[in-house]
Amino acid sequence: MTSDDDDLPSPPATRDLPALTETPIGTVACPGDDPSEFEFIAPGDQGLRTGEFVAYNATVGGEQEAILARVTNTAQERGLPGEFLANPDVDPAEVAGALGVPTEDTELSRFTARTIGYFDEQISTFTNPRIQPQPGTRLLLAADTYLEAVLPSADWDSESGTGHLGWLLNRPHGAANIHIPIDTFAATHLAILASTGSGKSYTASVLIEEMMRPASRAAMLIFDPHGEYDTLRKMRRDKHSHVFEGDDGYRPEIEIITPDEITIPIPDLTYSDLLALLDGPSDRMRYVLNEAWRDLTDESNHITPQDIINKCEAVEGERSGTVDALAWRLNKSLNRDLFVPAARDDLTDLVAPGQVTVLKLNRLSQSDQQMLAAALLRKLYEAREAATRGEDDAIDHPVFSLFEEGHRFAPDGDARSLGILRRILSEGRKFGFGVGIISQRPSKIDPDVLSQCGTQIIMQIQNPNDQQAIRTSVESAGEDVLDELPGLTPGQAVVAGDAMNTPVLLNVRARHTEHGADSPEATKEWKTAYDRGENEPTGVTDAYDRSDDVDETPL
Amino acid sequence: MDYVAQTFRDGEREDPPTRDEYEFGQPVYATETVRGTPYAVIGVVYDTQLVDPDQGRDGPRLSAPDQEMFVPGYVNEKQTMLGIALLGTAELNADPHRQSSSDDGDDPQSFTAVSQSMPQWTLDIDDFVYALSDDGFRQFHTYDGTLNLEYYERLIATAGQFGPEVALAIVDRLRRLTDADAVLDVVEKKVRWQSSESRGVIR
Repeated sequence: MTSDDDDLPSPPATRDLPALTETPIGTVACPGDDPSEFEFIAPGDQGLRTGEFVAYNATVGGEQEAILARVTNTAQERGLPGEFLANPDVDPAEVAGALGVPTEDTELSRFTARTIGYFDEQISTFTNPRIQPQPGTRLLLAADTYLEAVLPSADWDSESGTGHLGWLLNRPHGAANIHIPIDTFAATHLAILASTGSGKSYTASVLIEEMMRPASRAAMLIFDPHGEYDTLRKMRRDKHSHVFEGDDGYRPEIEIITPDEITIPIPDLTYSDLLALLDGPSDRMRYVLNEAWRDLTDESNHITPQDIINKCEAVEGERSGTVDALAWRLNKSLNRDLFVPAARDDLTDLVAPGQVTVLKLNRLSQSDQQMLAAALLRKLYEAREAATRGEDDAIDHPVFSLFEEGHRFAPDGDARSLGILRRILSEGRKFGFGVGIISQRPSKIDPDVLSQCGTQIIMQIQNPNDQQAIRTSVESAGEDVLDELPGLTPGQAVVAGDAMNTPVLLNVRARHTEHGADSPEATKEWKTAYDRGENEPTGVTDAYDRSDDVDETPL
Repeated sequence: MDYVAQTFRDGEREDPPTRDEYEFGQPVYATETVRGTPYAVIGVVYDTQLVDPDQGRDGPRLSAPDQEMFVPGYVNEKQTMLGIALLGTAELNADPHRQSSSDDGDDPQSFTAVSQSMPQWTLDIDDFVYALSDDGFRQFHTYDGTLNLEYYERLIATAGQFGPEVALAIVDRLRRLTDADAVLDVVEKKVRWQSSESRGVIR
């Protein structure tokens, strides 16, 4: 699915916009259960849905302010009596009509709304006035343009890049577009959480597209365990490629690194990485390896498994059973194409502004994926620390790293990559190192990692454990927003956290590039495979069935 | 909205009505001409009272049984009074006198401009009340092709304790005359439930 129209909505230019439309919605009836809740009554046929933004005028500190509120619940206030519904074949309106009960405007709904507040220019966010609207206050629909301007926590006056993620769920297609500030989530990290098939990687790709547009030109690294992000290549060549072209000739670079090309330099490993690779080393082996490894890494940036074995022999003095056992284990773990002796000295081919690098990890085991992530992240993080301190300018620009299937890299438990990820998530902001975690199992992610993701894009989640994980780890997700999660359909998302002034329900926009993670059509593929088997030229098969017919002369 | 009619007795009319012609739930009508337009004002019998001025006077009578009608002070004043709740009005197409001259009940009554809202004019004392034919009753309830009982709420209020029963009697009659069985079933269930609830049978 790609967008048919190339309408690229512009982000708002100012917040100085009228907040209210002329559309009356309802009338405030009474305060709600909660100090920031109130209830209002509206005709039932208005189609007002939960998550919709309504507003009213109030005087706060002598100033007239437009107070924004979000509809959180709907209940029937008045409707046709249950007796009218006794027979499903008879339209209740017909019964009502027969008995002379007016059926127009019969339905009255009672809505609960939660006050968000008025937009305070000085602090650039909403302030809750902490006063309840008077019963009888008229509520109006909040204006699309106003919502566009005040919902994201973006500074529209600055040149910072924003990403067009979609539009407000309850408004018509494209009526109130939501542009989220890329700087914010790139600095304070991002989590995209949704059950499988709800559009996680689709949403992530929309974000990647926005981050690669000329206004942002991000330096991105994607850890892609399923090989879903190949289609990003189309940013350069399909009919929507002009979306990504800058006036100065900029075009995003897309580097897809296949599993064959992915290597882990042995010198980039730490002693504990190495230990994790070995099968049940004894205490003696640990000691020897530790000594050998320390010496080796001090000496050289080019280490082969044999170098380690030689060094172990040197440490141990003579060839002993310990060294033999170590040698066997080291050869088994490291003598693979994945590990290379030379340290990675240049990271700029992996991360560069305007370049998105996709590491396709689909043929690596989970532990190898974690090992690779750990080694690479450590290297990148060190480079960013050095650059920030002015010691080294190898990577003199912020980096954003996206982890598809994030629970593999930061599981709630133990993984090679967990330590460095935790560190980047807690300290990365200072060094311009942003992380995006995409996952369908929030409950399987390390809670510290999840709670450090400042911006959340949450889509349909029905599993109670996963909902609970979000409830406990995601600060900004209020109960009323969490209640929406099971009811969302694919392509609908809640965006909350640092990038937004208040949680927002939105429809994710269509991708400019093709989507690469559609589910395979099993029945179609089975049928094709079956037909292929049936239609194979049997004569030829038979010819080779008899071994004497095969000419085995080498060609 | 709530009228009382006195039934004719033997001797007052050539062919006085029989009991089944003023039964409970019997639709009735009276004719009124308002600004030159003849109207049928339609109602339903919801109550009956028997009036006997002799009640309590059990002493001897002076008159002989064969002289009853000719002895002053001994007129038979026993009466059957009908409570009638008005349901609505309809313009009459046919000549009202022809209508009124026939009280056999099966004369085709042709209604136009039926209204089940509250009748705006009162009936007069000495107005005649006639039984409404089945056809007229059906026309009164199905004037726009659908079933209408818009007077329902008013009827329930006027008929008081017999409201649900008179409504059910109307429903029964309409079930026979129309094909709106499904809607009538729902209405009947509603009436039964509501009355059982208001009388404390169910909660």
